[in-house]
Amino acid sequence: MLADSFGQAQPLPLPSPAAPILSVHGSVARANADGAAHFDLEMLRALPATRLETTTAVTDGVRRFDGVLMRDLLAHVGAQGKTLTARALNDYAIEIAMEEFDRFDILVAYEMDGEPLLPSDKGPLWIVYPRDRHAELQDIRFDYRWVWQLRWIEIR
Amino acid sequence: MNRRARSLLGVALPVSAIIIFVVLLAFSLMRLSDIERNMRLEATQNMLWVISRAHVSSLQLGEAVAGILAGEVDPAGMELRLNVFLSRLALLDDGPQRRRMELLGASASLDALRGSLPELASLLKDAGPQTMPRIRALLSPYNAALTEAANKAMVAEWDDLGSTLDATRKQLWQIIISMIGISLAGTVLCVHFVLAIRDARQRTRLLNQEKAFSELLIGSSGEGIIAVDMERRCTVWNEAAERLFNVSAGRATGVALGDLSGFFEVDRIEKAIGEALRGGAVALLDQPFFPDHQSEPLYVDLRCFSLRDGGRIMGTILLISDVTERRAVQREIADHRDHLEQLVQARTQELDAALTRERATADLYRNFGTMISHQFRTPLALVDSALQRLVRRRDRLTPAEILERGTQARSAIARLVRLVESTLDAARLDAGQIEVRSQACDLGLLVADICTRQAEDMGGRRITVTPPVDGPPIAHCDPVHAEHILTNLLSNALKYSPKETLIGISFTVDQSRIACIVTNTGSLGGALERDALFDRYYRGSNTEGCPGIGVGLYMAKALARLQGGDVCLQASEPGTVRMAMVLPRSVCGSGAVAAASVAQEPA
Repeated sequence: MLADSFGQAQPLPLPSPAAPILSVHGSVARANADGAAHFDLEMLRALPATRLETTTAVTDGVRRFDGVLMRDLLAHVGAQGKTLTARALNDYAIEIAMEEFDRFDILVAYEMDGEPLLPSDKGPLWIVYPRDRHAELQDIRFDYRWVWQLRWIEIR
Repeated sequence: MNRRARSLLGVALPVSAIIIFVVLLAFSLMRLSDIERNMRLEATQNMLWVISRAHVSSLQLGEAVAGILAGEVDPAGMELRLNVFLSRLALLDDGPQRRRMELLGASASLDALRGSLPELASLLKDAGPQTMPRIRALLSPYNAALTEAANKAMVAEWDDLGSTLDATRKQLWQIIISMIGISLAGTVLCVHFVLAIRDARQRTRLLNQEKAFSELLIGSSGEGIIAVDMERRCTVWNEAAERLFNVSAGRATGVALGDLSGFFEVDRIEKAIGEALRGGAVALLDQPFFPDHQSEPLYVDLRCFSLRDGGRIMGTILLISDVTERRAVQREIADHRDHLEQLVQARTQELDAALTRERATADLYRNFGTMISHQFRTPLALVDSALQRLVRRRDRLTPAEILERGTQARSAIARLVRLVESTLDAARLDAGQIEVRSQACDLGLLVADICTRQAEDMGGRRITVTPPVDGPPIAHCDPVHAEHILTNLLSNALKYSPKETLIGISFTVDQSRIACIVTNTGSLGGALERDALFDRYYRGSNTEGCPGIGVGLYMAKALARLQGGDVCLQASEPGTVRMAMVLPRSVCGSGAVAAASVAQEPA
C-alpha cells in the first residue's frame, strides 16, 4: 500500500525501537507502529548528521549543536502535509509551516557542545534554528518555535 | 534691498535650509533607528511565562507524587514530571534567565532548591506517605519564590514596557518635530526652487527675445552676414546673403563656403578668411563678384572678424556689402568731374583767345594811333606850311607860286582823303559791309588796265607782265575787289623797291586756282615782321619816309579771302619779295585755294 501511495521502490521498513524518544504521527509514508514513525536515538543517529553553531535566546554564547535536519527526517518518513505540530514533554505545542524546513536548515538536535541533550534539561531533542545565519530568525516569533524536550510530531 | 544683499540671501537661504534639512533628517533617522532597536523583544523579556511554566511543572510534580500514592500515576509518568520540573529549573538557572531571577530577588530559593535536588530525587524514588511532608517542604519555598518572582516579573515587565513606551513616545515626538522642521526647510527650498525656476524661465524668455531680435537684425540687414566654423562650414546665412549668392539658408547651413560660391575660392578672399580664423580682422573693398545668374559683375566690400568664445576662436563672421551702385555713382561723379575740367579748359582757352583778341585790339589801336600821328600829321603839316607861306608872302607871290602852293596843299589833302577812305574801307570790312559779286574775270586784262591807269603814278617805273603760256588767266572773282588787291600789291611793290628796279607780274595756274605774283626787289625784316605783315596798321621797318597807314596788305588779304582766295608772301631768293594773289578758277575751286593758302602761310 505504501508503495502504491508513492509510486516508488518499496521502502525499507522502519525498525521498531524499544524506547522511542520521537514519534511522527499523521501523514507519513513510513511507519513502524500504529501508523506512526517512532525513533530512538540510534535510529536518529543513523540518519545524515548535521552540525550547526548558533546563539540561542535562552543560553549565553554560541553553542554547537549536532543532529539531523528536520527536512531529512521528514523525507525519511515520507511526510506529506503543510503543517507540522511539534509537541514537548510538558505538552507545549507549536505549529510550524512545512515550507519553513525547505527555506532554513532547521535542526533536530540531540547534542549540544558534544554532550547529549538530557530529558531533565532540553533533551532528548531540541528544534534549533540557524539563528545567526538569518537576521529574520532573530525574532521572538521564531524564538517560540525552538521547541525543546521535543517528543511528538504530527504532520497535517 | 540692494542687489548684493539679495544675491547673498539667494545663496544663504537655500544653503541654510539644506543644512537644517540634513541635520533634522539625520536626527530623525537616528531616533527611528533607536526605536527600531528598542522594538526587539528577547525571550528573556517573557520571564512571566517562563516562571509560570516552572511553577506549573513544580505543582504538576507535586500532583504526580500524590498520584503515585493514590496509584493513579506510574513511575514513567512520575519520571516525566520530574524531568519537566528539572528542565524548567535548569532553564531558570541558564544565563539570561538566571540574571533576570537575580534581579527579581528569587535566585536564593532557586539555589536552595538546587542544593536539595539529590534529596528530592531520592525522596521521589521512594515516594510514600511518610516522605510527602518533606517533599512539600522542599517544593513549598520554591513555589512561593516563583509566585513572588512572577509578581515582580509582571511589574518589571510592565514598568519596562511603560518606560519603553515613554521613551518611544518621546522619540516619536522628537521625530514629529524634526519632520515639521524638515517640512519647513523643504517648503523654503521648494519656494526657493519655484522662484529660481520662475527666474530662470524669465531669463530664458528674455534670452529668447534677444535671440529673436538678433536673428531679426541679422535677417533684415541689407548687408550679407555669414558665419563659419573653424572648418569653414556655414553656420549663419542671412536673407541678404541668400539674395546676393542665390543660395537658400537651408542649403547653405553646414556646407563648406567653397562649395556655395566660387567667390570664396578666390585666392585673396580665402586668405582673408584664413587670417580672420587666426584671430585677425580683414577688410577687402571693391571686390568683383560674378554671380551665376547675371553677366554683369557686382562689386562688394568684404569684412572678416573672428568669432570668439572667451579666448578660443570658434570661427569667423563675414560682412558682405553690395557696393555696385555706389561704385557706379562714384564713376559717374568722376566722369562729371572730367567733363567739368574739360569745360573749364575750353572756357580758359576761350578766355585766353579773348585776351589775345583784346591785346590785338589794343595793339590795333596803338598802331592806329601811331599811324594817325605820323600819316595825318605830315599832310597837315604840308598844308599848314603852304598856307603859312601864302599868308607870309601874300604880297610878293606870283600866281604861279600860288598855284604851286595850292597844288601842294591839295595833294596833301587828297592823300589825307585816301587815308580816310582806306580806314573806312577797313571799317566796312570789319563791319561785313563789303559785298562780293564773283564772276569770270581775265586777270591779264585786269593787270594791263591797272598798269595803264597807274602809269602816271609810277614815275616812269617799268613793269614786266608775263602772261601764262596756256591761255588767258581766267579767275572766278569780283573784278572790283581783284583790282583793289592788285592795285595795293603793285603800289606796295613800287613804294618799297628802288626806283631803278623792275617790277614783275607773272601768273601760275593749276587745276583749281590761279595765282598772280607781283615781284619786286627789296627785303623784309625778320620772321616777326613777316608774321605781322598782314596785320592792320602795321608798318614794316622799310616803310620809313613812305606814306601809308598799314591797311593795304590787310585789306588785300581780307578781300582775297572773301572771294575764296588769299594773298600771301611766297618764298623767294634773297633781295626779292614775291607777293601772290591766289584766286579760284571756278566756284568749286575756292575751297582748295583757301586750303592751299593756309598751308603756305607759315612760309
